[in-house]
Amino acid sequence: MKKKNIFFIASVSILIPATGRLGYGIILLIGLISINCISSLLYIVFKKCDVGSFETPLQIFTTIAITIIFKECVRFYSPILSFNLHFLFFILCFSSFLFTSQTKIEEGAYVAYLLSVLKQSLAFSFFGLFFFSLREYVAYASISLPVTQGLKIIPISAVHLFNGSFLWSSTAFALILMAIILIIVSAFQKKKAKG
Amino acid sequence: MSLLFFFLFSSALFNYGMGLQGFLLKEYNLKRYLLCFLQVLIELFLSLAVSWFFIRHILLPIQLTELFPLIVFLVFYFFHTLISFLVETIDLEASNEIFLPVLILIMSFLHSMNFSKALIISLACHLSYFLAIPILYAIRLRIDQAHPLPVFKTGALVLISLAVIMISLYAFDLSVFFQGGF
Repeated sequence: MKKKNIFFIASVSILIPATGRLGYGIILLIGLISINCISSLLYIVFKKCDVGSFETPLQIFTTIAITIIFKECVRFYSPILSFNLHFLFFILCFSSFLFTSQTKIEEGAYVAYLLSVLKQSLAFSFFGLFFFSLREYVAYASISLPVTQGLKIIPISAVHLFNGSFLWSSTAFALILMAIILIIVSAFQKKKAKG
Repeated sequence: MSLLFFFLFSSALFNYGMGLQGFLLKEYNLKRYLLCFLQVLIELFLSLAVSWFFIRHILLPIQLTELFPLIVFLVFYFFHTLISFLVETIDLEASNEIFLPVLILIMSFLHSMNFSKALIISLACHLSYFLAIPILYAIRLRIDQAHPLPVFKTGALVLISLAVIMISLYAFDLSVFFQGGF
């Protein structure tokens, strides 16, 4: 817990406040990967230019700028999606900043840094996809995809226990779902370590 | 009424999960907590007033309001640097805490129709954030003292406790009798 796990930090900062629909989640995760890639490239440029104490503000500024561009792209693709996601774009921006700033950059090892950010973003996106799918299935018994008209909702046959459990779409139950996943993963890791 | 709503029931932390990662990892120190509270409060008010002026009189006439987060950040950073020069302050940049007031400002701009509402929302978000810090730190301490099973040491219990607080405040919305809520 005390060890700053980037996966845990990013999960809590973006997966929990996001809506319970996979469609929105896909947009957010695409945004996360693209913002991470571009901002890490810019971060390398700042390092090379040796901007000194202006490194962090410049990094935040560029991350916000890239988020605004991404928001406009989403608006161009589907204004409904952009309108519904609204403030979440800026939480995404915060999450992306955490990703790029938590990964330490070493002098000269720029390719390794880029690959590390990309690898972490992709791994996190797969986890995010799983989390969003599970959350939507549990909450609405459906899977949704982002289309230009908003969301295309594909209903899935639900287990009786899950029917009408709309509560899972709330932030509080997303935290509980995350806690359950953490417990299961931790239990598996402990078992693996034992033998 | 708005202040109460944004302060307790629909706080930035519980509604948007803003700064959740900070709560789960941050160490609590009373002096730092009070200093940070005052510093961010002053910076928030100053930057809100100035950025409101910029957005209202510069960005709005040229129809570039989409760029307002950049202005908000620049103004906030300017005041943060200025105050850091004048008095000894807490380095928010080192702990990545600098983003949270910016998020509060962006949220207050997105949700408000006039300056007074933006002021109320930002104040309420700030108060709710600083109210939650000691509560969640106390929960973390109690969990540590209870020596939970190794499986639960990953932070799962803190997340569940936080969820219980959220449910208790959201009780009306989450009630099964009001399914239209979601």
